[in-house]
Amino acid sequence: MERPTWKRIAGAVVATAVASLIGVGCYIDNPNAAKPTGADAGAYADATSDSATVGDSGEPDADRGPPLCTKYGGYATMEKVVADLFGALVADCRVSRFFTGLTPERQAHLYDCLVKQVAVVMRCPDIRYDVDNAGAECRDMKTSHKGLSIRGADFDALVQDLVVVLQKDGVAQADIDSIAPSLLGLRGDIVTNSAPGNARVCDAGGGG
Amino acid sequence: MATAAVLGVLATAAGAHTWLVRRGSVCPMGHASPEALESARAPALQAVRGTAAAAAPTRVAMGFALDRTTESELLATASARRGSCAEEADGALVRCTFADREELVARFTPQHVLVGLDRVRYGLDGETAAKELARVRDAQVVAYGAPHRQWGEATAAYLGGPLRQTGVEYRFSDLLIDVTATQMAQDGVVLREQVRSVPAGPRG
Repeated sequence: MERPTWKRIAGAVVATAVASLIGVGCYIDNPNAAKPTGADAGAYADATSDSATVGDSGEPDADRGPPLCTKYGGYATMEKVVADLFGALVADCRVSRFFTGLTPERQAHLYDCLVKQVAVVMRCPDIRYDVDNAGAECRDMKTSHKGLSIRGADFDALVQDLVVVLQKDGVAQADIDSIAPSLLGLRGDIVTNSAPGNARVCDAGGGG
Repeated sequence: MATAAVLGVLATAAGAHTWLVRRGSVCPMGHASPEALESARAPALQAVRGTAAAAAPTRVAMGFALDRTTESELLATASARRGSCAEEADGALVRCTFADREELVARFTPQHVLVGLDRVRYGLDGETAAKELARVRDAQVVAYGAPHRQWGEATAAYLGGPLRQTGVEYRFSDLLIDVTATQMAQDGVVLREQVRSVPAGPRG
């Protein structure tokens, strides 16, 4: 028997309120999220040690020279790198299930946020790891990977694919060397499953 | 009040899903069936293949024959090597782990055809990785001819820094072969041999 309309409306209202209170960041994005500054941006900075370090002018950092982003063609190149990475990940049997199961909206969110993440690591001027193109918050690595039971092997697979893509897209090994600490530093926030095999892996067979 | 709140959350599909995700009962990444994985595989591999036109001289790799080796044959081989195997992704993957931090991931279609193999060795030192990479590359030259692309240097010195990578790749119309050795710091050098069958279809 169908529930009365008022009960459904009340349920939805309570659901929204409670969801906000308990912070369901693992799955639901907050489309109204403000651009992170200070502490919010710091969560990402903690993970990469390299967040938004280029000033608004995009001037070269005295110690590090011109931003890698500028050297390799700007934000458009970051988009190409991430598009190529997505292609590589879907074609990689080891990790394709993590990305194939996403809805188109989630894929778009992941793509947008990953472009910004790579852009920040490559020091693109004026780019912050904040929101996707629809305004939904790009969450820090720990929050966005919570509950996924990502293994070290999964992290390794993604990073290996990323290095292959960077090489193919013309990024010099010396420049990959320079961003290595930022990328490898994400491991602690992303890898939450030490199982060598299939135990508790949130994969396509995990009941989703 | 708390009960009412929980019931309110569960009153919507999204709320119920969120609650289950938080309980760990539902994968927040969604469900990719073997059929969905297979649908995504073809265009992804065709894009990676690019315009390669020549067929691979052989489809035997790592002791298995793509398109022919059955899952039971693969499991028997792994068992003979004292490997421990488990299915993942509703049977689309079989992951076997061996001593010395070696892993074999086999990909099967919903029709149980072997279409991909990944052999990954973790925790190698630079010297061992360089030697193993050279050994694999030499065997591949015999089987497939000269690599279509190579990068980096297969030396312990080169593989000493984080994210240093050396690799070779082959791009055939029906087969992709990739070998990389990547310095992953915490996991040492990770040597990956990857062979993937490319479904017939558009190039580029």
